Amino acid sequence: MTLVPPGTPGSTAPTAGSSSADGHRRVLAQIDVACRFPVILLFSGALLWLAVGTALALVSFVELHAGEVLANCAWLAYGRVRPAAWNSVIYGFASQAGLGVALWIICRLGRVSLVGAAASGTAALFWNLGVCVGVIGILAGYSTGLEGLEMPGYVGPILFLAYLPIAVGALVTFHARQERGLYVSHWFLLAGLFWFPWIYSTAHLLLVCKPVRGAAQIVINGWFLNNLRELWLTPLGLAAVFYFLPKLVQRPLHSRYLAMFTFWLLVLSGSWGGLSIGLPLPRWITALSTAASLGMLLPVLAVAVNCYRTWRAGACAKPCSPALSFILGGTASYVLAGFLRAADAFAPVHDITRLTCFAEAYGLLTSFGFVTMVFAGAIYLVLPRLTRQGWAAPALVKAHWLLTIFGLALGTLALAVGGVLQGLALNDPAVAFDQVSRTTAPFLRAASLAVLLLALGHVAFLYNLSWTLIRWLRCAVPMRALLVAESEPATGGVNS
Amino acid sequence: MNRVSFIFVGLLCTLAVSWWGLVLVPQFHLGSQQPVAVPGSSQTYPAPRLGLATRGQEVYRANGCFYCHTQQVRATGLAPEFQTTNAIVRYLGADIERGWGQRLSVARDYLRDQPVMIGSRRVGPDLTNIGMRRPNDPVQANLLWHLRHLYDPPSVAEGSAMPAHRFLFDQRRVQPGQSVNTNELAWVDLDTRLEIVPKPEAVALAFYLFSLEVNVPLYEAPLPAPPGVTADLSASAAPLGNGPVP
Repeated sequence: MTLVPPGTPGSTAPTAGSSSADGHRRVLAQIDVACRFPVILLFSGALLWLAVGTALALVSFVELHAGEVLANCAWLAYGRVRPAAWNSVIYGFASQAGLGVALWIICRLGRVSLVGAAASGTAALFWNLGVCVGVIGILAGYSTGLEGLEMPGYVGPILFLAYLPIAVGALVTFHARQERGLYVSHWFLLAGLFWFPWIYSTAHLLLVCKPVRGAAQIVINGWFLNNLRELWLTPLGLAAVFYFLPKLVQRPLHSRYLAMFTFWLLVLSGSWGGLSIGLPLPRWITALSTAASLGMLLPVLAVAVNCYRTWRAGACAKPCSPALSFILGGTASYVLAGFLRAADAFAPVHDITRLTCFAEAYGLLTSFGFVTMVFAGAIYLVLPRLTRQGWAAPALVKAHWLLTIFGLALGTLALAVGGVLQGLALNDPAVAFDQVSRTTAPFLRAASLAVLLLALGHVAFLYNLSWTLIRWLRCAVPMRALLVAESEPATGGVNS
Repeated sequence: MNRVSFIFVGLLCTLAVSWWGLVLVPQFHLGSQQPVAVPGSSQTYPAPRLGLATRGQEVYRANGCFYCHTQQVRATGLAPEFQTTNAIVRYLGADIERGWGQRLSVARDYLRDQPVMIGSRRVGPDLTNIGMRRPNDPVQANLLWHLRHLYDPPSVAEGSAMPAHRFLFDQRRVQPGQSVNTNELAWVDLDTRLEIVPKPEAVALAFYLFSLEVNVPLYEAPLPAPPGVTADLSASAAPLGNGPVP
């Protein structure tokens, strides 16, 4: 039974004094060198898209209460900017950062060098190319009109083909692992890597390439959107949480069985949600889906208990490292978003919150809270290990965290309260629709301010990463060393 | 859970069951739906969208109108009123009372839509029946209302928070003595002395919006009868219900 990620101080006690500890560190260093070409590329692309996505999200929020601002610019119409922002954040940032973190965790847990690093790195470039073409396509008016799949149809194959070398490299590396035991994070990573191509190809084939007729599109689109969140982004995020949290607090994970409970309930309940009561669909579909959405409360609670007890048993008396602050913030966002989502699935609440901005509150918490903070924490921890250098501007890390926390708190509160008030007004036919808009407007302004704070934080993050990488490339490692390192065969020392 | 095969089989089974339940079965269930005959007419419902309205649907998709506007009418329940052996079905709910539709939306309403853009958020009002909101105005006046609304929303809908879509229009300076309004769907903005001429995309979008109407009774969603008319509960005998919602 493996409760502590291998590599955690104390988990793999050196057996032969300092020379063994040095050997251990050398092994880890060589593993890092072997995987840094694709991982750094994935992280860099991810952060660029995070900044672009948040800036576009800011434009879309501002347009909700200042409609005159960009009235003459077709490329920045609200209905184009909003999906462009979403796609930038989900496919550009979250998926790339998640893949980068997954590659690093698989190498570290397995004590093995990454297989096919050059192919993964090249694929990362193609992934970025695909996202770039897709986002420009949306802004130019070539959206497919399907939520979550807005990028023009020809982008799907690019993303799929770019994904395959990265995922295959990860799985072959996993297969070649030297540490044969499976850690909790392995389950979640395998789930995410396995599910994404299935759900993406299904949705792309049945909605974009050869669209099914009528309301079946609503069901498949809802299934895809839900699974993209619950079975792609969530497993990657939770794998990172279960790996980095014990590592950072230097204590074993509280309960492997609770993590197992989380895992199986996530794959069982998570794959059925997303189609709420009230949609123009047969009742059995929405009833089943709503029950599954309510069932998601259990894995969320299990994550909350497991993480809280792990953290409390560890370093709660010590000051939090920046990475730990982000991981904890991300975990808290996941739990809060889970509660809000379950509340929204509860019929009496859903009658009020349906079709309002309430859903945006937990959407914001999931994308800019859980996913972004967990991967940001992971990047803050991993990048110095890859470059053998600290961050160029440590003060900006603190600023990033504060801006994110304040932005998330303000945005979630504004959108949740605004959503409830909007729903109550919408449900009262005596309230004219313009009055409903006026009721919501102050909350949308507050949400715009929140997204501005988030955008500033993400720009600080991008600046810090860029400056760190520039400094590293200038003074430490020539670029070709990245490629040379990849071509070196794994030594016996690496796999000790 | 230290065996990869166990996890892999578990993942395969759970995804396969989910795929079967929420992709395959709904496709068999909903994919086999067919248009129905409109009572008292040779037409079918939903009718195929024709001409400029089809092009307008593409403009609607390209500009993401569905991120603010839904096309799904909710009903919180039914209130059948029995009159001897007949009954009138009344739908309850704010959407109906706001006049956004005469009945709740059901799966068959989207049979001809490609893609289906029902929307998930109501920043603006529902558009399911927007083509029927001004039944007494001629077609030209309806189209002009939509065009003016796209150009400057508050000018025709007081308090509207919708962003203006001026990029769908050409603006021409009116010179003294110059004849204007050569295009019957153009108008002159008296404040700025600009002639506002809709681009083909704007006209197509206005046609699409005007084409949006759900006014045919279905077995799964019968229409309420006009005041004073009783109807059998069966859809085949349900009236077209062009009158106001009771």
